[in-house]
Amino acid sequence: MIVSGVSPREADAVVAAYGELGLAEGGRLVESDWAAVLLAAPEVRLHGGATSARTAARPQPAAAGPPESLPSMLPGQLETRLPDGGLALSSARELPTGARVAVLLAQGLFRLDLRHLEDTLKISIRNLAGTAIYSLPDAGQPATILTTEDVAIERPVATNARLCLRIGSREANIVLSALSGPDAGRARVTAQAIVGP
Amino acid sequence: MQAIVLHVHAVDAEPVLDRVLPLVPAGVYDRSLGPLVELVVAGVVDRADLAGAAGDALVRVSERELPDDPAQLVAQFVDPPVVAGRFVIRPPSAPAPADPRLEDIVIDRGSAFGTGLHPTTQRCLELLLSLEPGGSFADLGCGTGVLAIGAARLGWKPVVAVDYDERSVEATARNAELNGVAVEARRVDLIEEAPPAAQTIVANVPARVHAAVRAGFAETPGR
Repeated sequence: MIVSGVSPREADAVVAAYGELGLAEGGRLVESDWAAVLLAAPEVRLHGGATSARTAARPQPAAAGPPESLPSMLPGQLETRLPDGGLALSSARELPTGARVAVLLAQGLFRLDLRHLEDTLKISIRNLAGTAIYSLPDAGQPATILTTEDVAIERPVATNARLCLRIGSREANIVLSALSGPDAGRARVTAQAIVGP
Repeated sequence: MQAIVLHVHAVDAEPVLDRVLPLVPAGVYDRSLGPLVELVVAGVVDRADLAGAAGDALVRVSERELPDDPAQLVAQFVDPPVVAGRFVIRPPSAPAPADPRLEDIVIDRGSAFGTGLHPTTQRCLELLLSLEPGGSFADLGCGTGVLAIGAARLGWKPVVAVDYDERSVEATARNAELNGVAVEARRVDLIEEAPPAAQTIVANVPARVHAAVRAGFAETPGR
């Protein structure tokens, strides 16, 4: 049996539950915060290769942007300076299928780009900081996420994602919501970020 | 729709995007052409502004008509994924792979989930290669039927594919026919109904559905 559609953390519980039926883990592949696990009865012979636990390479922080002057805001982006010196950013966009769209820009820190590919929303963090950007582990990996698990029912598909980035001594919390009609070919997205001082 | 096309050296593509993306709310289609990258900008944008943003990285600029159909856009700018060096998953509009060693899976998505681009679909296919094909197979939560079709191609038989959504069932049946494989597609609500019995099962479903599937198996010893 192969089980998937779950995060690595959920996979542990799912594997344990199926394990009570006599199935043992024979291999696990992890990519973009999703897991696929091979379960088999002890007598089943498995091929080599994918049967050992393996984690797909995680995206590395992008190279720092060029030192030259870049635009400080995106068209339509709202930006508010917070009392503590932090920033609140907000933006809404329509994402045509297949196009890479800049959704949030924190000057000198990062740009959030999205690409809507039918049933998948790809999230890219462009590093503009000149220092490494880390995605904090509890917030998931900024990579490929599912727009919905309910794509096939009669309502728009939806996703909600949270990212937490550490950029030097600063932290950025990003909340992302997307809606996409299954047949529309476009997704609508709203994104907000709170960037700490 | 009319689009402006910038060709830039691959090494310059990201810095150019740093300057171009903030100018274009509708985004950029990008495609690697070996040493060059093609950046295609649709919508109302000034050609001179774009060329200026590209600066010295610009190799040439031109214009092109882009298709309005999202499926054709995807076919133009998204390469079909090759999974585990064994499967190509492509829409009908993309050309068949030239390499005869690749299993060619053609997926007409319609409105169901499953283009083959998602990591869970790809990793499930990869894990299938760890098993000796043969005997009965069930795809639980089949979407467009990618995994059921892949299993049939590898030699499992009979293959059954179930989903709670009628459009997914229809898409799977249509895609099985398109790929010339025998897959019995039917509607099953795995939360409410017992999963079909099979010697090999793939379940690419949310955790709460796994809980129901596991309970269904437990209630029916021998499955």
